[in-house]
Amino acid sequence: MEPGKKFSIWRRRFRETALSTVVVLVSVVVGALLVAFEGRSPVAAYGTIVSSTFGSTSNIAYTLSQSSPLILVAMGLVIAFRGSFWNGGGEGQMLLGGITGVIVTYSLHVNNTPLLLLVGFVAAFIVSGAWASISGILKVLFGIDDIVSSLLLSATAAFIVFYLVRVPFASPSTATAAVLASVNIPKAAQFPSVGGISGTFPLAIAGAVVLAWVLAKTKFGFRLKVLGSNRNTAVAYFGKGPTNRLFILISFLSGGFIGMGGMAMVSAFTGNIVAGASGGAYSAGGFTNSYGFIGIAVVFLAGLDPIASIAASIFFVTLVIGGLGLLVLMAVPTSLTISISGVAILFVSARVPIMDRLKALRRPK
Amino acid sequence: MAFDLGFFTTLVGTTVFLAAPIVLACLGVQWSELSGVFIFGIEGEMLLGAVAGFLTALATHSLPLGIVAGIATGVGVGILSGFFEVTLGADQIIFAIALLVIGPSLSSYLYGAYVGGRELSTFSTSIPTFTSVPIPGLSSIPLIGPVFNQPILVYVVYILVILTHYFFYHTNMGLKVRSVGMNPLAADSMGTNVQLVRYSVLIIAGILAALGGMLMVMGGTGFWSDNVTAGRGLIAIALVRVGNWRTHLTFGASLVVGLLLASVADLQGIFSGGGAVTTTFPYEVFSTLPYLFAIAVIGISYKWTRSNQPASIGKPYQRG
Amino acid sequence: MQESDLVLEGRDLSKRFADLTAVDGVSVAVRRGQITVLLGENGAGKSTYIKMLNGTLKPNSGTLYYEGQETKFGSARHAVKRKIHTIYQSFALIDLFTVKENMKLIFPDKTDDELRAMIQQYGKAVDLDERVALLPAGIKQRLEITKALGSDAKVLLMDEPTSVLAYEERDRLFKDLARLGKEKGLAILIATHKLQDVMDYCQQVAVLKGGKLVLQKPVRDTNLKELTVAMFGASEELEEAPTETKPVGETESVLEVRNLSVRGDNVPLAVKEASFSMHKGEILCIIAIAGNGQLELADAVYGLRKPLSGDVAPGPAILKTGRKLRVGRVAFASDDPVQTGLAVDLSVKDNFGVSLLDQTSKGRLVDWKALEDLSNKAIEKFEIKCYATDEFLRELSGGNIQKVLVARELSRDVDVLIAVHPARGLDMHTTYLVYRSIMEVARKGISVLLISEDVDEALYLSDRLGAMYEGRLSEIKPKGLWTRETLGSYMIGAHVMQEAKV
Repeated sequence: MEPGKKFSIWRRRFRETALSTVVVLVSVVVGALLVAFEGRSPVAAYGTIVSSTFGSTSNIAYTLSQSSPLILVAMGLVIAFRGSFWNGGGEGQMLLGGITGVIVTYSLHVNNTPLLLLVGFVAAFIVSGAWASISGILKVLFGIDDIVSSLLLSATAAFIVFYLVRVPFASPSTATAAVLASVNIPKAAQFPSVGGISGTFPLAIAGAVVLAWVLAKTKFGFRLKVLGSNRNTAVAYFGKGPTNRLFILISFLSGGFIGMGGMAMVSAFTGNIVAGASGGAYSAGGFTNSYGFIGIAVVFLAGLDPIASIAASIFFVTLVIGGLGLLVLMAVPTSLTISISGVAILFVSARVPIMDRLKALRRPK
Repeated sequence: MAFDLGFFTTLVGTTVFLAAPIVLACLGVQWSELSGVFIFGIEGEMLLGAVAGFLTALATHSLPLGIVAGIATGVGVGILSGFFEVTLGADQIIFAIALLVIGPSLSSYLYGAYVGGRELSTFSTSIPTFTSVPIPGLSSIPLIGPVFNQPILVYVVYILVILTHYFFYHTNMGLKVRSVGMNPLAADSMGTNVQLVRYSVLIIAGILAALGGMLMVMGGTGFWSDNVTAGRGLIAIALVRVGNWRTHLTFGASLVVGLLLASVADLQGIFSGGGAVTTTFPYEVFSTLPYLFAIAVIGISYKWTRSNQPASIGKPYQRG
Repeated sequence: MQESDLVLEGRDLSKRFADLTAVDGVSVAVRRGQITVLLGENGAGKSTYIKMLNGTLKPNSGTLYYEGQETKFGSARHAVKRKIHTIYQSFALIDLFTVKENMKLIFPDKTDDELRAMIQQYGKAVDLDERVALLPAGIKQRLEITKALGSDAKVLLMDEPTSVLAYEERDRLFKDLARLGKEKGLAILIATHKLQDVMDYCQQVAVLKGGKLVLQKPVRDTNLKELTVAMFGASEELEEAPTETKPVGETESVLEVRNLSVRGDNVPLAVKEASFSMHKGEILCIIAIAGNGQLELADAVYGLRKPLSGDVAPGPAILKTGRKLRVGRVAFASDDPVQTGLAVDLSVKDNFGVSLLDQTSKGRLVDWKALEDLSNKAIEKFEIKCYATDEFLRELSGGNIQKVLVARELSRDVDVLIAVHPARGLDMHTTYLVYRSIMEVARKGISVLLISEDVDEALYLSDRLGAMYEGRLSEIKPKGLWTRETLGSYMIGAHVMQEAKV
């Protein structure tokens, strides 16, 4: 092994990170252009974003806390995409996780926080996991494209949640008919904070670390990697049955993590689920902040790496919160910041070809 | 509720009307996929075309101008898709997700940006809608009369269905496009310009998607609502697979979905007693029916309708 | 030789892929009315050169001349427009379309009758509504020839045309090519690694070795020996094949195949009631021409296909031990140079891990150190050129990628190893490496089921041999009881015809 050539492997990793950074920068520039088009100063806009997210310790704490649900969702998507499960139903899975958390904690009539949280998270994991695994099963048994079925199921889930919020678990104090809200979770089910940072943050980090370890060190993680790279290889060497079972397990775990993201959202931030008119596609009133889709941008920017996804999640949350700040202070709507995330995903889609072209350019003729 | 002839007749008319945007989306999916390019993001393309058409119609008070703007947007999105997916060879699924995110959010933003700053009292947020144009004679046939009493765009949809089928399965040009979808390497060596073919179909698909989105906005109340396409594009993707990438079965499945949607509207009205919040009946179930139908129907049909799947779908074709 | 005879010429063409120079400054010309042979072993650069001549690949340096004029082709279809047609080993036909649809893509204006007449002119009559996928290789080749000649081709390039043909088909092909060449003034270039193809029908030969042109002269001025030396260079020391065949029937079998029938993709029954057993440490070879069911048989034994009837079971030698039968597999298909068994987006180490996972794990965890060691040993043994095991598999050259697949299977701790064309596409040196490893593996006690299409390879490696034709397996006999002639005749169905007579 030539030492000089080992360097070339690091060079490749560096190029990948560099490309991700470029994607981020381009998105920022596009965002600036759109803001300027709005008639506002981009500099002021970004200044607002930065100050409202990292301007003070309390803001930093707030930003980090807010990133927890997105990190959990990202973990679910890392599992999915690494294992070749195209999970487009994150929105619906997050909603289901959230409403499960609300229902379970509300119905338990227990005043024990650790117990409520444990049951809530586990229930959310199971329900969302089961929902996502429907797509996995459909793919294995009927060959239905996972992205199509997960998107369709996500829309279906949204309607189910609409009903649950409207009827059995409707908030008794609904002011206007236009805004449907569910009951609030009991106070004991609110996730405690430490020093201003929500406890969900260390939970999410712990989840990421555990996931990173499992993917790198266990046979399960290895098989997942192989399945994600080439299904034929997995079938030929692990067998058709085990590969199919692995795929369904991956879909279950993926939905599970995303469901936990929904539960984290409810338990630490919103306290209930609001079903309204606007929001990202297939979401009930913006509860999910489109994390189900933004999560996809996050994990691809992070190269499907769990730890890097933490950083990428914080970046996107900055855009969203900063976006909220912008909404409040400068009337730039969140839909714009979500669009910017979409543009980021656009560039991510061309990542491999762009890298290949850059490599070809460097080669001496 | 009187289950008389009148009821069914109205149902038929509503079915066809509600199915039309889905049919347009299905045609868009077919055009794209038969050349081997996924178009899972068609929902986003529909919304972008819809918002462009809507805002232009709002600004100019002219429906035709709006349609032109929508079509232009469809062309633009098609070219963008071509650049990323054909020239660059980007991952088609991730690109689709990008469109699925940009479509709803950008359209919502543009609508808000245009309408938001204006005084609502002096400004109407609705546009003139399509009016139905009855075909004399045919439109008075009992029961199926309303099939011929639709906005002009719906008639255009009928014609497009026939043209598409004829093109793909009875012309040499259509054969060429399908050969690109089956085996681009072979097609290239047989003299077909694979890149040009794919760019062209993506532009056509973009136009069809934009028309579908516009039909939903302009054919309805005339007001904009966010995410107006509500999953129609997704359903179309499923239906094309059910129809084995042939036009007739897909068209039939679209009509069934149209029927479901029409029934949903009626049932929802019945069971919710008029107001959306007051009853305890889970009428949302009806809204899920089109989606569940789409899933069920791909699953059932899997075994016998994959014979026509373009073999090269999803993989970019590049010269070495 | 007149200048006007030169139709297509590549002067000093070179092509590099990443670190590999596939073709280095080669000049070959194709002449009107003549058949020129581009001779060379696998990996010598023949396919790459043809792809530069027909516009599929862009040369890094050198010039193309067409009918005396300097030319550049933007893509494959530009060359086709100039009447340069190529017939690849895996044909450029659309399998799911019918013959008629394929022909209509090129001849949109001809009627059905005209198409039938054209096809008959250059080969056998074919049903226009038949799906191309169901046709045998020889007929697909004729369709390709029809496409080219029906378009008034001036140049015909063929990449390994005889590899899918049986003996008489090959003769007929060359006879027809020679005739058509003279009639239409076609310039024909054939790329092949089979020496026999050269001598009988071709006028000019050019030998490629390692991407360079080592010899170019009229066929009548050379002979087989000179060509062999040019192709392979110094001859390698071939280990003497063990002459005593292993005693069969004394040891208990490891694997039993009983009355196995397997469905085919394009035919209802690809394998018809095959039965055989395998013993510890023996190499059993099933030899057949492409498309006679041997691949389906191998898949069924490995477990990739479910048989229609009959079964594959561990023999008493395995049942005694109480554990499951472990089967490994290395298989190369002709139309898939980078195998589906390889995960190109993962590292070399990961790819080794795919087969060696059970041997390099501690409980539920992966033992990365052990995997690293095993991988490095295999890399050294098979002389795989890679910088580190962390390198992504796609960064390696095609030949090295193939070596990884072979290396990892031969490092596995299995009872039975299925090897399907294990050395296909590899150069001579690596081929011998693979052969030596297979024999080594058999000495260690692993039973090897070798699927081959090469009589020399089969006779060299195996202890026992059988032939397969149209799904029927012949009697399996020890090597000493076969001759090249009998083996060849069974490959084209002698045993089937015998059975039919009974």
